[in-house]
Amino acid sequence: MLKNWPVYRVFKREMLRLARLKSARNLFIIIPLVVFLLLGSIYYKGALREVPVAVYDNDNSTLSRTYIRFLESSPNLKVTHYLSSSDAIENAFVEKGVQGVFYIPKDFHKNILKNVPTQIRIYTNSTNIVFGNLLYKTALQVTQTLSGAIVAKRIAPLGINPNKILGTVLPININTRVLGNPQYNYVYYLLPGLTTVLLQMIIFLAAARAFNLEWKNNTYQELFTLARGSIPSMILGKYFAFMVYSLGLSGLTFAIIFPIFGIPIYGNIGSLLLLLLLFITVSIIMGFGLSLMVKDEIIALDAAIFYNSPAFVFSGFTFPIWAMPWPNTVYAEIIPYTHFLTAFLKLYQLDTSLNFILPEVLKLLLFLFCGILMIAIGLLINRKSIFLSPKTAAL
Amino acid sequence: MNLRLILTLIIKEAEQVIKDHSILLVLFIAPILYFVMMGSTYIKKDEEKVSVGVVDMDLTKSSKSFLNKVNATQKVDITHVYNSLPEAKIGMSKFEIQGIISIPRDFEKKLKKNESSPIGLILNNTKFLSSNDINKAVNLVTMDYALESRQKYFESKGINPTFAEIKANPITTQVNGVYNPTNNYGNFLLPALLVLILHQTLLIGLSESIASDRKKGLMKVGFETSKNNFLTYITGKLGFHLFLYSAYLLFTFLVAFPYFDLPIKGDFLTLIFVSLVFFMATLLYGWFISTFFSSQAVAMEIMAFTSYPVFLVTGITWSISDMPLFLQFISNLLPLKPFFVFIKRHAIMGVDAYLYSHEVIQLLLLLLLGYVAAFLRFRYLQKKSMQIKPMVSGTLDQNGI
Repeated sequence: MLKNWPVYRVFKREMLRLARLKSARNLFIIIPLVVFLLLGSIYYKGALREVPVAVYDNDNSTLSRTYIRFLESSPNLKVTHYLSSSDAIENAFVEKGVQGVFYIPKDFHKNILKNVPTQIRIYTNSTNIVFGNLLYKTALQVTQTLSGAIVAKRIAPLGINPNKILGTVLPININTRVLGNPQYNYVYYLLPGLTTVLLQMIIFLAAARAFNLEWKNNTYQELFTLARGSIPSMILGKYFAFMVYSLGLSGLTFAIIFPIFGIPIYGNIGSLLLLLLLFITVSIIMGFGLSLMVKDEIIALDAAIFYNSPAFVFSGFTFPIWAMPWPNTVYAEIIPYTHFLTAFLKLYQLDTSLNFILPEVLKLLLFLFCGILMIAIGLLINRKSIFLSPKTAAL
Repeated sequence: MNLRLILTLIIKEAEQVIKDHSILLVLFIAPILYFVMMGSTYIKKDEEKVSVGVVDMDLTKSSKSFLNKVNATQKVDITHVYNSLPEAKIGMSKFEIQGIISIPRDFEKKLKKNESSPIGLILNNTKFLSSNDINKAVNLVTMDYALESRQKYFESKGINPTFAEIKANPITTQVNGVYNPTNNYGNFLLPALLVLILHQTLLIGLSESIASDRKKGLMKVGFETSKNNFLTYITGKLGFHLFLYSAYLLFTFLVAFPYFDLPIKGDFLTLIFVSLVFFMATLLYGWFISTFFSSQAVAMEIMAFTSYPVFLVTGITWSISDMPLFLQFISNLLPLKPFFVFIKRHAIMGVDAYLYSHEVIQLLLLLLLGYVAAFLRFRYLQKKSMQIKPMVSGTLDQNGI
């Protein structure tokens, strides 16, 4: 019974066709394995620790040494070089390979004892803002801790109630709670984003060659006959085969790559799977649409690469969409990945329920509709190659 | 090396590019479009007005004043006011806001009594940039409060206001973001991104051209045209791409860099010279790798997926020394890595030449490596094409019989 069902026949053929196709093997197995493992390995340490910094202690006093000890005790910093002149500061970033220089001025200790304002200057190599931000944060923390301790010491002899010292020195105490990625781990932050954007790209690129390659290889007639001339059966059969491959790829991502790099999934797996099914469907259908519209597979591939390549930049993942100029925000909106990512982050990192991703689901459904529209346009403009007459089909 | 033959090969390559719509798109349209699209994304360089929600349970003058101060910071914008924490969390779950500031009851009372008043800060850390900016802004405002409170205490003890201010803040810090004073995202990413766009479009276009040659048997024709001289063949085949990307190079440094307000502190001629070495090394590497593809589609698919790993493995976003050894090794084999370091040191930092000489030497060595690899591959393919020749004629003879 099933064997005679055109959808099943096309599905079976497509499964075999994809398995034999070098391009599909590259896209679904080799590229993700190599690229995902490589990307994960880049950030395998997770967080930046012990960033090398240099110190120029122009005071060499008890207090300046205390300050340096504070710096050394921070897990974020490692004092690797001690400079002996201010001339060395300029080239320290390149010559010594440090990411920051702490300059403690002359008479640092003496000035503090004399109540003369004194300033510690910190130079950060901000050509890389990851280091720049980390050093900024740590420098402020260390300096404020020492500054606070000095003030507390100054206040104590003035006859203050000991219970009020903290309230005077630090009147507002921030209790910070970090949701999503409390470890500030770069693998947890970047790898899910990078793997899912590549997931869309892989599926889209593969689907963009689903039909035009049949024409190129002169196998369309065989497909048409197998589907008994039913275009919906042809599309559905291919869709299910692509879905199987795409789910395999998702399995590789979430069940192998994520555990290898210890990436936690906070959200509900069932909800994530539902979202993933919709996202994959959108990518497949849009790819099919492109494949039916553009007969030249290379041009279709060009269009697919051009459309998908900037998806990560425009998704707002590393740089927010609201900070982009308006034409770019429009482009960001017309990429399904932008909406998938928002929904994915809500489910996977914030562990929200399905109703919170309703706006994104609706947008993805709109993309699905666009994909179907693309298929319809493709069927219309290439009808002569798609709807074969019984005579041609028999040939 | 025969100049006339080189010119013939360059013209042939140009004709192939013009005839093949896909290569034409990749080499002529994609670089400009990506420059405009990607470059303009970071034109504001940094984010502003990150949405934050507040839950003010105190509703006093002090709590409002604190929130106003937070709102007055450049990067934070209080866009939502909630009546309870669960309500605010719903807002965060909807991604309406990126952070929540919650002020408990008795905030003002405690402040006035000189008791430490805790406030809650909940951050959505799914995106680091916004989360960091909110954290920084709230911390800076609380520091202002700390200084004010300390100063007031000293004043209450009869110390004059100027002296009290000094006593309240014995150590100040001045953080100077060298080479990127505002520590912004655009200045950090744009120079590398523009170079990456050129690198990737060049590789994709070249790999398509060579895969197409292999498929159509034109590689052998090219070898024959060059009279089997490697230098003539490679100069002719890659010359067109080098000319084209030299033009892009000038466009990048003369138009794109000034437009995006990116500095070129070093000497321009050195910049162009080293950039040409980089492109030559990339072309030789690209030719070598592309000769393994016999299908234009496969070449495009594979090259398109190299963008992210190639970019990230160069250490542009992460310290190379924190990567595994095998990745450090791979990174050092890519011309892009020393070139990024060179651009950073020469153009952005403007340091003395001896501080980037190591990178220039590395680029020259990679150029040599690319040359040797391409030469050996050329000889192999040449030998193979010569072996095919008698076999083909042999087959024809048999068929003829």
